[in-house]
Amino acid sequence: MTSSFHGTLPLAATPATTPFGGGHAKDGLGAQNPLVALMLDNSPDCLQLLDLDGRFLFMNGPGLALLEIDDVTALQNRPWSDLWPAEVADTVIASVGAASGGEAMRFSAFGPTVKGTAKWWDVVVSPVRGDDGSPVQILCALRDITELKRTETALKDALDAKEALLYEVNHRVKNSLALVTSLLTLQSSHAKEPKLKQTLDEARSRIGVVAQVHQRLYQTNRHNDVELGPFIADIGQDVVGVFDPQGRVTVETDCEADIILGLDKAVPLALLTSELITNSLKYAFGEKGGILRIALHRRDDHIHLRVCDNGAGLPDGFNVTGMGGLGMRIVGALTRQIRAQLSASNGPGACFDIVFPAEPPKGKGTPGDGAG
Amino acid sequence: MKILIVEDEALVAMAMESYLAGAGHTVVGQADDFDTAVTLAEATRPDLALVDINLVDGDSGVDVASQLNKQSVPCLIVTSNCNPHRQLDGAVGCLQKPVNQSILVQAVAVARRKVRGLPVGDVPRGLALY
Repeated sequence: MTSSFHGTLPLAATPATTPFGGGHAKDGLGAQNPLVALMLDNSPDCLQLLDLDGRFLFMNGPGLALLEIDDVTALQNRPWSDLWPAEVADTVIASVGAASGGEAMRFSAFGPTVKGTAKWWDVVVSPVRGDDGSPVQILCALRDITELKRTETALKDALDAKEALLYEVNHRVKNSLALVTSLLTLQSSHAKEPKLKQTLDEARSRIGVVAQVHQRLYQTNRHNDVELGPFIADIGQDVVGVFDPQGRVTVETDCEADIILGLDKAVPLALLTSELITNSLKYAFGEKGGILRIALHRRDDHIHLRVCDNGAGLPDGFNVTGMGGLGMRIVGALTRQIRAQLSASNGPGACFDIVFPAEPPKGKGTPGDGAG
Repeated sequence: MKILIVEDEALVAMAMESYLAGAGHTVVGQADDFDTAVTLAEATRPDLALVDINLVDGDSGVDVASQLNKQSVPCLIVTSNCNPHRQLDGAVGCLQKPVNQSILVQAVAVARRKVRGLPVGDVPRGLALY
């Protein structure tokens, strides 16, 4: 390039002399300045010039090729909106109005070429200002984004397919686990020995917690995390439903909304909550029943879960780190897994507190997923 | 046999410990990340480490096997995704999850024989030896 052109482009400076039409810039607008000619002819974009009423004046050579226009004279003085499908006419007219008023406007729209080739465009419509700074013409820069749109559509389709697959997987896993819990329910109902019946019920309840995870995932169409409050509240009701079918125990929940937890934390937390509830139901109440309270809150950067009952209280010398039964061993192991602090207190009734850092979900799957 | 379990799912580790204890083995520790695994291996000198690939700190089971090999602790990979085309440094083989007691105990016995250079005998379902 040999020109050392600086300053206001002749496009803007000499609107009255701008020729209609299009094609090689050296024959039209660019005839007034070789630099303008070079820019217009080498632009990868379709550049169009309109008058302030939005009527077509000029299009550069690459623009004609992009729009597959053989005869540009047919476009002369036609409203620019005529070049677009009716669905985007309002946007096109609005952009012309904005540019006439001195404002630039950008939009993307579908617009086939004159020969019907499907194209997507990223369009910038901006005022061309005269010497006094007021708009004298309108410059439209159209970038062909058809490939980008195709890629975007393909990605969206792939994402939709993945979403549908995950939804289906969670649905099927939930149904399979529901089948397992049904089998255990049948076995439990046929068990003669109370100890065996209780063991089967505990197994059913634990599997029910994992089933609840998948049910919640497919119901809420989330795949990597759950809202903890309603989840924990539901688990409370489910576990009590298994071990207290007579309804002697009332569950009271106070769970803060919008606490979202990744599955890597939510599943262990749900399981250990289930164990603590089961523990209360087994040892706290006896025949008369009582109240079970489950609270979940975020405090500063930590999440605090509390499971309390108004029953008999913890036995003398109870120590959360020296736990013997399977349920409390599970609580201890899962507490360590999620790097939580577990503490127990008495009175009245038993209270267990679990506190752990509120970290953003990591996106890991349910236990046993992936390479683990 | 002294066995170290390197596994990030606490309940899976508990079940494995229960299976192994039932067969007369001693689980000397459980680790769920690289640093703990290496420290425990150094402190307890197990005869075998059962190592999951995906741990709390990522896919560090691969590095655990490699490091424990340098500490002369043989490893058996236990994962839900055994790759027959990828043999990990320091591992005697890969056992496919999920495992039941019978398969795990058989796999440990096979791994022990292989480490000692003895004929391995019957290989249980899901175990691929390197």
